[in-house]
Amino acid sequence: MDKQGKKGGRSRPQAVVVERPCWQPAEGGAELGRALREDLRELLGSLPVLLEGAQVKDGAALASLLARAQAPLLAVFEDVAGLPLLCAEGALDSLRELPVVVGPCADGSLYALGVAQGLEPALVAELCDAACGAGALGAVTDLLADAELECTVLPPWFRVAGEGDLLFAENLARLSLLSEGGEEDFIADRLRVWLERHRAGAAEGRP
Amino acid sequence: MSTPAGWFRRVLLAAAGGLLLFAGADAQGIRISSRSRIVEPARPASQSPAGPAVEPVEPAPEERDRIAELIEQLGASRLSQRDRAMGELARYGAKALGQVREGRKNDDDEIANRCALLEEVIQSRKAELFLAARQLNLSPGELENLLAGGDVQKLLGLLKSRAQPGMSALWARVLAGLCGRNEVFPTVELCQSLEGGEGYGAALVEAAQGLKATELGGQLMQVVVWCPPLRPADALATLAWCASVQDGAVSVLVEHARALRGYYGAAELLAAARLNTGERKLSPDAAELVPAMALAAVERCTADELRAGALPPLDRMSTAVLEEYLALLVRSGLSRQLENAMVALTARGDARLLSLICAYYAQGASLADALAVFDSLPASARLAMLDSWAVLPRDARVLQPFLCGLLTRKEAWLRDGAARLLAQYRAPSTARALAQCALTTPDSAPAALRALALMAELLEPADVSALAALLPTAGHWVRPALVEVLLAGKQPAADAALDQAWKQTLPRAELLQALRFFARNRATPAGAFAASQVLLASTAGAGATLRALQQMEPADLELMRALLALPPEQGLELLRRTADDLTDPLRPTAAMALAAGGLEEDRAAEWIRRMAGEVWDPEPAGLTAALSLSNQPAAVQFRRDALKQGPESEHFGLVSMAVLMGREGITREEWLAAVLDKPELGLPSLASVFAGDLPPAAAQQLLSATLFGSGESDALHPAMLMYLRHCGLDPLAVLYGSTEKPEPRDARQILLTALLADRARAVVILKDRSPRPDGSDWQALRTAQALLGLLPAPVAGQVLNAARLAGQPVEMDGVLRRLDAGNVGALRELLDSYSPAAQVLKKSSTALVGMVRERWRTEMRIEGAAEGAFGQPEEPSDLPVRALNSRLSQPLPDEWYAWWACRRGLLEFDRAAGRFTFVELP
Repeated sequence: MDKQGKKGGRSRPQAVVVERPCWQPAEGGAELGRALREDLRELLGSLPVLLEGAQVKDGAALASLLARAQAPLLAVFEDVAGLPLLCAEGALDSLRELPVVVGPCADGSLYALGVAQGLEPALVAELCDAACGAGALGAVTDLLADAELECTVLPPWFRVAGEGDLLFAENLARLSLLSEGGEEDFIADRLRVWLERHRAGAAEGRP
Repeated sequence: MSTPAGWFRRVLLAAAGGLLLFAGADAQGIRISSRSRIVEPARPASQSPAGPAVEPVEPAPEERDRIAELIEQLGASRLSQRDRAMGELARYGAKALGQVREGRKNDDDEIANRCALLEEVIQSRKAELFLAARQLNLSPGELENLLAGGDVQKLLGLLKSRAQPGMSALWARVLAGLCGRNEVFPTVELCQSLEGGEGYGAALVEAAQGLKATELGGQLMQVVVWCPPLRPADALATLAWCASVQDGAVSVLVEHARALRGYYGAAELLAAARLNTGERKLSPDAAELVPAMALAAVERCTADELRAGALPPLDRMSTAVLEEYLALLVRSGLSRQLENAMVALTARGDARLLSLICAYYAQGASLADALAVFDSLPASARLAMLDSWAVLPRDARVLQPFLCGLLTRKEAWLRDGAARLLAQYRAPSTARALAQCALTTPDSAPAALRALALMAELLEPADVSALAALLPTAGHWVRPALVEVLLAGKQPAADAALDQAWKQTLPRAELLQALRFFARNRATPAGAFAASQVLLASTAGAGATLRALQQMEPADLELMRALLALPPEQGLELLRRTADDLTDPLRPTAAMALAAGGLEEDRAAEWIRRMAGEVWDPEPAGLTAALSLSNQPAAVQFRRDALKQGPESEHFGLVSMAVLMGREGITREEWLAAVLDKPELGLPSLASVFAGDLPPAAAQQLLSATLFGSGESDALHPAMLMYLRHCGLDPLAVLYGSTEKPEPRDARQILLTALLADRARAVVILKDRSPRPDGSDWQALRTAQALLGLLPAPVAGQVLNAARLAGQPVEMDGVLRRLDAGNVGALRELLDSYSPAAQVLKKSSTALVGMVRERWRTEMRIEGAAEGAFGQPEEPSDLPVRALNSRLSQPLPDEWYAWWACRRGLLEFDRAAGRFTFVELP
């Protein structure tokens, strides 16, 4: 209870963007990181979640946030580009039923980790450490298997860990303009601006 | 679900505040979205609708670069980019203003028009609302509509699901819009959970700054006391801004601040006494009150905390601030600071201020110190000290001898003041001193005699005889009080003097006293008449007897005079003839007199036949009172038959009168059982209910009757609550029937459960209950939690203060707890608040200040100045004094006013015995 004697009123799920420095291209690296991060915050902020403003740099900080949380928490890593809205929405829906949600990347890392309430603090701390470390996908999978926990696996996505990933993002941005869904298929407005500025002609599909 | 892309796609529409759309299409190479449209051209920035123009703020270098980038993005090819850039620029606010103004000159029309719109947004100070609308996935216009009193539940739903921290401007609008409605309380909780304590406080202040309507000021003040913000500066600022809107808000403001007492620490409150309100300034009146509020909200403080506080210097304190400052010194026991203040203010030479501080000094200093300086003070200051002790008596063993000594002083005003106080110190020595004063100093005789009347039975026979000897020649200033003394003395010499005086002449002004005197002996015709009048008046309740008697007709006076003048046999004959004369308007009065004295012979049967219509009578209803008074067998049987028929009987009123007058044949319990059986036909007066104990079953019936019958409002009457608790009833059975899991259905039931039920059971019922989304039971639930100890102590205290201010019946609960702790002030305040003479003594410190003020407002007549400060007493409510008897060393009589008035200064708490007792003085 707080000073007012009231129980916490935060029944809304929470979300946080976890720091994980992305690969830096030769030009505009810092801006790229900021663009990805702000795009993610804007996306998450549009959902019915409480977006945490606290800085989360590592597993310990994430575990600490989870310990304080009074609702399920979805952590998304900041080097993820154009996270599909459906993934985020799906993760939040799943956390109502299952204790853990995992968003895998093809390179063996995670793009998202969601944890509901009620898990043992020690397990939560281990999951957070694993998710923020090397070989996160494997480590988290091992932990979940050992604990015999059910979880939801989100569709695979990617993070910007190299030139190839950035090119992938760029092409997804271009494709989204041609698709029926338009920009909704790849929500990354600031990334588009960055691409326009630093990869001339590429994002708009112009020669 | 609306997607983020949705608001990328939305066009920014004009809102009520006059926001714009950007320019429409232009054919020549201007990239404008086909979805945009024109509403109206941009207004010049100087015409800000929200007050003085916002001035640009210099951004940091990296911010400047970022702003420049964003301005460039205003001309992006995609609408989503342009809109996003707008949002980010709006977030920069005044820092972007300079570059945005420059942007209006951009060759790119899209950028120029968007910059113009942005400047409008920034100047309107609605940038935060603009951003909030985006966050809530609304257009600014839609948000404005919801804020302007649209669908409250929809708005709250949106806030609950979508609001993010950092939207204090929006919360300010929401709180201002909802204050006065129950929904404001759950909204506050939501705001606190999202914005945190400081964010909520900022929103409150902003809400208060934006108030326009005067009634909203009072309502927002209520929000502050029910849901105080984290920082005391925010609480004070909000109250001060509310006061800026309301006229005449001084006392209300301080009252609200007082409700926060104990919630904040002293140091932080005193530091907040000098508010920094930024660029917006409070009105001078409101600004002056901020230190007063801070002081009023401090429970107690140390000297160091006081010194470190941001208070104005003593010689520059306004009266309002000074009053609160002095009251705080008294509360905190800082007597040295009180002395210093006295010295400092004496040097100013302002007699009025000196009086004020002396009134407080009389309370805060040790009594010995106060008495030591008494004679060195000017007259007005000494009077103020006496006033102070009249309101808040000090140690009787020390003060009473001092006051008796003042009775021999040569200054008449000192003698009168002392005599007024001595009325509270009933003792043989007091009576003797007052009698001597009356006998030796004629100009102080009225004051001395008025005080003496309350304790005249303690007088020595010699003193009584000496006073009785004054009666024949007593002037009209002295006589009323002298008569009262002789009447109360009940000694042969006094009785003989009164009897002789009234048989000779009965002045109209002394009719009441004469009735009380002669009613002692009902066997005489005059006595029977007097007794009938007193008994009948007593059915209106203890406090109402006086007023009832004052309404007697001139013809009644003449009858009394005639009966006194005649020998008893002739007087009796007169009464009988009058009672039998169908044409005499005094027939009912005479019949009553015969019945009261048991002199009616066999007339009761005749009266019954007339009332029943068996014999014609011009006014059968006039015999009701006589039949209620008569103890003849026929009358008694008549009443019993009416009782059996129940409250539907046309003669049941007669039964009620007889019971209330204590006549024979029907007990109070039998009568109450019949009344409570049919409560819809009218509950008895509170006085009749309180006059004795009720067994639990009858108390249960009473509670049912008050909850579900015509006396619904009585259920929450503080005295009724006290009485029902005392009767040991099970209110849960009444409130919830036989339900296994009681569930209060509304705010009233919540309160009654907390106030009446056994604490453990009430906790079980209420501890997990959440308030309704519409907030309709929020205050009641919070109050109940405070009453049941489910909140931390400082919070519980603040909630109960707020509840008290809102008129909830929690006062009695607090008083009873303080009584349990042996708090003398609590018992004194309780009895004062229910007795007529002290009725106007409200809260002690208020009365204290009120008296000093009143003294200066009236012309400088020393005598009666204190009385002049009291105003007209209101009709007192009845108090179930029996409920207090277990806490007292001696029980209170049912007619307790006079009994209490002369013992008020003697009250103390005997810790060893665990009871309140009265000091025995020689």
